[in-house]
Amino acid sequence: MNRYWKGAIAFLAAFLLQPFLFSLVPGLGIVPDLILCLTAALTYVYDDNVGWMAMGAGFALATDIVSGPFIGIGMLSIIAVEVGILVFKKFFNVENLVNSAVLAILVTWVYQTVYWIIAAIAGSNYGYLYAMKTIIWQILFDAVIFMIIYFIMIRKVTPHRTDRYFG
Amino acid sequence: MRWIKEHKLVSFLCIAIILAVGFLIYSVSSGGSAADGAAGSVLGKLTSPFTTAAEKVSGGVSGIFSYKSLQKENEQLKKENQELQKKVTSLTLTASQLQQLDSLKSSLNYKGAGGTTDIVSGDVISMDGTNWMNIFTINRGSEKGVSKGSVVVSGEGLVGKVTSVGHGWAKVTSIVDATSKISFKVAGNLKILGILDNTSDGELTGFTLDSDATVSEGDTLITSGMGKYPAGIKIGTITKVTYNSNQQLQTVIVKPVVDFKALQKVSVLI
Repeated sequence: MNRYWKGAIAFLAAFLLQPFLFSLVPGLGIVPDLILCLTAALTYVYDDNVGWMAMGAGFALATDIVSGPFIGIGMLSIIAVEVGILVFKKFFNVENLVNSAVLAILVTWVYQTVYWIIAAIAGSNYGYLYAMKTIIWQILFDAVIFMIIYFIMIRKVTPHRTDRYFG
Repeated sequence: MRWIKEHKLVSFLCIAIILAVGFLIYSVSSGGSAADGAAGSVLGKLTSPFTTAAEKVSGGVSGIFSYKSLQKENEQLKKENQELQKKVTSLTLTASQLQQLDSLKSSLNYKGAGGTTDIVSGDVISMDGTNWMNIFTINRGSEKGVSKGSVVVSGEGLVGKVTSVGHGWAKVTSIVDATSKISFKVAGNLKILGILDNTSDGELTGFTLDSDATVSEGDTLITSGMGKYPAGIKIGTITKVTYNSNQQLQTVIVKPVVDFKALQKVSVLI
């Protein structure tokens, strides 16, 4: 099976599992954002990443339709994250573990910050500090999921890079 | 076409950003309720079985760690609590006071408790993508009579209102996310009336109509019945009282009684 098909199935599974996670741990109010983690990890690991970016944006739009305060808010935030990852990759080595861990933390922060900016423009009454106060656990959860996907995927990608014909 | 193929990344980014901004502008201009009708129904139906399964798994897991009887007892206590809260509400609002409110409502042409007869219970199936906002989707929609503007409550108190609805789903915006006005009464002294007209960082702010009214921190506020919210529903507790000498208003900051992040089941008043 083509890896894009596998990816699409993974995205669909993440989309369907998201409310499952929410219901599984009621009361906590915080669950990892699977679509964000998957999009970020795949965009980060693969060099031909337009397909993953498109899938991420598409599923973010679907999430917006199901549960977002405004349609397009999550999609735009995830696009900002994708662009951020592309910039990050220009300056830092993808295979370095420390770089990846730093990115894992930045991903959620960038996503939530862009989300907050758009929500504020749309009329939301939440202060930035208040919003950021609540995302510490979210960052931790997302970073763990990101790193798991990263460890699984990087093993598949690295052999290509070490191939003498690569590039 | 050739240019697009050669510049996939730039093309994707341009198209995606234009699409997202377009959706966003349309959605914001229509109050977050547009464009998600049919798509929302389809996607809601797709995710709904997973939520139901999760609730079963969640119940099963908790059953392993606690005795089944305790679970049953807990459910029973919840029901009892809801019933008792209803009784408390009906007792706090005496018949004469309700009559006064009803006459005031009819004179002002308000639609409130009198118009609300049916209650539809639903499960929360998904939350918005943030931890600070409190917007969520429930698995009841237009097929059950839920409509835009329907009031949503939980066992604890006032939750919010429906902002968009489709077949099998409804999006609920909590009272701390909406900017609508809520008319309130102080539970301990029903003569004190006021209006909550603003929200900030998950709290509600407002003022008492009588600036000399005696309210203090810890007082519980309930809906007065004027406006769109029926009378007697718990809103929250006062956390701060200040006097604004410029406006000659006694302002209050209120913490909602409902823990929005812990919500699983809600009722929609239709």
